[in-house]
Amino acid sequence: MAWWSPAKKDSNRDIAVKRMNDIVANRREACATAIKFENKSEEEIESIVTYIKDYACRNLSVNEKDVKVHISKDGNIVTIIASIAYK
Amino acid sequence: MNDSKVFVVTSGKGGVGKTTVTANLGACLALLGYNVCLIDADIGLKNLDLVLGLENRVVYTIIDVVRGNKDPLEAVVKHKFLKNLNLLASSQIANKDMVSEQDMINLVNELSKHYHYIIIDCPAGIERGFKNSIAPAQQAIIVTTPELTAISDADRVIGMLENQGFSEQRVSLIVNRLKPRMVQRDKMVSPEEIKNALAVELLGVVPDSEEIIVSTNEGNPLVLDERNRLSIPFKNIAQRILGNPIPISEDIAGFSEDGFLGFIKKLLGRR
Repeated sequence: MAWWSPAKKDSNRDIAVKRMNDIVANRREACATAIKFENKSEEEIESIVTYIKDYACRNLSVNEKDVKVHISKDGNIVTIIASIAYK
Repeated sequence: MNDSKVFVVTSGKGGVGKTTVTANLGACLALLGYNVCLIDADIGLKNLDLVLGLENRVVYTIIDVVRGNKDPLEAVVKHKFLKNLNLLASSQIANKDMVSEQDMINLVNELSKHYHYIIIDCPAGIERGFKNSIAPAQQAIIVTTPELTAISDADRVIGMLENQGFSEQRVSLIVNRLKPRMVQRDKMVSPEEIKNALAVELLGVVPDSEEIIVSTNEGNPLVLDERNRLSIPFKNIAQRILGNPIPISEDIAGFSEDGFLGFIKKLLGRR
């Protein structure tokens, strides 16, 4: 903003409140779901990941890059966490 | 004591005052006559014994209990002045991987038989130490300062608690190090705004004060000094935990006076 601008400058607190609400809102919009499967093959896991991404892209109007699928294995238990960021 | 209440004091971000809140809240409840046990779950970076002035009295730690070398009651240390305030200290030479979530649940189950209130001082971060600390807790107290970095981390922790099955009723918020005059001058977010953003119940507000540093230097929780005005917010928080609805405004009453009257009051109130 130029020095001669007649517009009233937001107070420091107003800026902080706006940024705080943005931070919190963005985080709350990311929805994570955890499901556990047992004794699944690599191909089955891969097909589940693809299905989650396709489903999110088709039904939630999000880009594929906004769908993150994380896989972790503990013995024969596989945990898939899908995090979908949408607005 | 089957109706023992178990709290975890957590934040995500380090240095926001978790240990100070744990020590003073525990001391307040002990002053009210309850048997209180504080657990320092910050394994490897212990501080709670220092804030309570008990660092020279600690012989056994949480690691001795987890390894089965000592019973929990043998390992706890009594406070010098408040005999119903106890500490299960952490170890500086151990690491967080030496304790599991189940270890913490077993430990708290055992201590629950002897204490009205158990307060766990959670380490900073959201890793193993955090998960261990929240595992046995019934209620979570989130401590944040009015800074965006701390609020952002508090939000992350609230999300993690929700994922672990903590309902809205089991999570509450303490805003620490508030500078009421900065809020009045529109230079700091207010506790109400933080509460609304994080969508959790506000348990209390603790104004910023040099008295905290003085009390830590002396190893005495400041609530032990009745004349210390900073003891008021901690006492109010303890009352709210007991179910007595004290207005939040009373936590910061007298901390925002400007001008000559405020200066005189500050001088008279200072010890």
